[in-house]
Amino acid sequence: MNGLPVEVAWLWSGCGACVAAALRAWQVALRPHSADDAWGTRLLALAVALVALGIALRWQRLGHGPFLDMFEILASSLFSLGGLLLLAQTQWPVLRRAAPVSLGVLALMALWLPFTDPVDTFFPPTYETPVLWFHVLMGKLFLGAALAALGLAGAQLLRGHLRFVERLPGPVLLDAMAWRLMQVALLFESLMLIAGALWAQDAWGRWWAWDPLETWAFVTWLALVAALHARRRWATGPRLGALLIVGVFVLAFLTFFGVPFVSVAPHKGAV
Amino acid sequence: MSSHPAFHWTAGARSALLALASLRLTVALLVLLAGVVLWAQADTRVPPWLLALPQALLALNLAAALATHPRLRRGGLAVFHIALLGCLLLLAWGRLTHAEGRVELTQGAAFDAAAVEQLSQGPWHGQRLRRVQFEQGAIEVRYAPGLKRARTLSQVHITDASGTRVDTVGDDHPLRLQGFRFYTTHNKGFAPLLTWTAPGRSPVTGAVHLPSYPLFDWQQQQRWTPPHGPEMRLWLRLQQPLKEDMAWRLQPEQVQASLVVEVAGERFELKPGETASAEFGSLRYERLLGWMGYRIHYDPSLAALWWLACLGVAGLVWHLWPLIFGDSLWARMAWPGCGDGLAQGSEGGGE
Repeated sequence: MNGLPVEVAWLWSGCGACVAAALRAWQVALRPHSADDAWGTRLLALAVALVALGIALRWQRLGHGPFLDMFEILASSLFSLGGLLLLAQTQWPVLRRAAPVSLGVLALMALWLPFTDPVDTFFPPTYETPVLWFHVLMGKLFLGAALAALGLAGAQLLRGHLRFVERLPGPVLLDAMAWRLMQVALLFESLMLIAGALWAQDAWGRWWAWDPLETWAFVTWLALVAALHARRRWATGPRLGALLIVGVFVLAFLTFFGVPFVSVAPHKGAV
Repeated sequence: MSSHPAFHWTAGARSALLALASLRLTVALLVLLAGVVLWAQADTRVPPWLLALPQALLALNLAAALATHPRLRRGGLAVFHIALLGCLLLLAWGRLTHAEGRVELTQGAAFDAAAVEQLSQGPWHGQRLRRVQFEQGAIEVRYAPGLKRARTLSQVHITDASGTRVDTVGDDHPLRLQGFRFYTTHNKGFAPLLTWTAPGRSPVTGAVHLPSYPLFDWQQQQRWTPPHGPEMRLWLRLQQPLKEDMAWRLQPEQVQASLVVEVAGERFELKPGETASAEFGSLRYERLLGWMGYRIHYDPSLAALWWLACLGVAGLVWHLWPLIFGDSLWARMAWPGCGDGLAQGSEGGGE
């Protein structure tokens, strides 16, 4: 008997909980006099737990982690980004108030997952290295930090339009917080690129080959470095700073989910 | 009042250095590099120098910034930027000295640098490849059901001053010799070992590489013209067809196959050890061997680049650590303090 439907059911349930968390966050944000609400966080925790269970069942059945195709990448990203966001919200509750935008991005991924093919994947021998784990972990931490920053930047851009932003720190402080997170993102993206190059050298005999994913990841790194320098040079205000963060995040999102979407494997042709 | 010409020169050089160190130029060059990278991704005809140019300008910009901005020469920021500059210089050195190539090696044959197809080579590379010596041993490639390539195990015999040793390379374990790395590839196949005797001449033994297997399992044939002989058509008839739905191992010397030879209008089907003889000469099918395709990589900057990149990240951590963990900003991200009281917060953003 094929175990696929069971794990897919858990994963889809997780997706549902994630969408519910985002809807709850927006419902609270759109209220004229919103109070702090724990349901968004609870639903996000449920989503992470359900996705983790689905991934564990699939892992047990296939014998390898979720690294290979779009279905697995989306599932592992929902787990890791949801988990990181949850952890960050616990540590820095201001991120919970700024959650609607970041949870909206997670909900987008959760809605996307059921439309991807949950076909069994084959784990190539070139993936059997601890460097892959480090590379992927750094990638998730990078995107997690950028997602948290996006939540703050998104709130910044909604200032004056939605009341929930008034309960967040002022624009200058919010801008400073978001850019601290982007600096952390730069650190993890740099480590992701270095670990990726190390892995590629041993796996495919070249540490850099400008494959689509490498190219977009490098362009994202350049955009982030350029944004950090531009912010320093021109002392960009909170609104422009937020727009820069959104721009960098869009590039990062395209790198993580756009490139694997248009190519067969994360590193097209390298498997 | 007139000033000394040397002063003018110094002032001019300083203003040029400051212009070169401009942060505005940094941003412009980063954007330019991103643009060229994306252009090169879309159009493979973009020349490599166009990618190198913004990187070289960024290196100059960074060097000038380090020379003119004391803040960049302190603490973690200094480590990060100096390591980044070092990485850019190493990249340039790596491109000047690197070599990329590929070669196919038959089981039992010694590596021959002359047989290497050069893919790219830096002008300072020289002829280092000639020093490399090893011999191809047994080949085994494991396949999972669905014709999915799993482990590749390629034995190589290396002879050096300490004697002969056998190493098994494959996948993420390359053969490392004289600074070169030899990586096994998906490209491998059968190589019938033949002894050819032209009329009135001495026998010559060698192998003919058939197309990659199982990629071209339906096309295991080759045209071959032996020394002082007519053109022949060879194809391999495998006793067992490829079974795609089960796991299997490709071990060329253990595969049962006969060799069909068409020459001078005649057709022969030979089993290992059999000979086809006629007026054209004689061809003996000794046995079936395999060949392995290797990708060759040489870049002496790799290790230094790795350590320098790690050093740069360490510098970044050094710089960011107090900002992340020793700063009141994060404390303000807790519930009570981050509300209306800080709504007009005045914390600056210039880290």
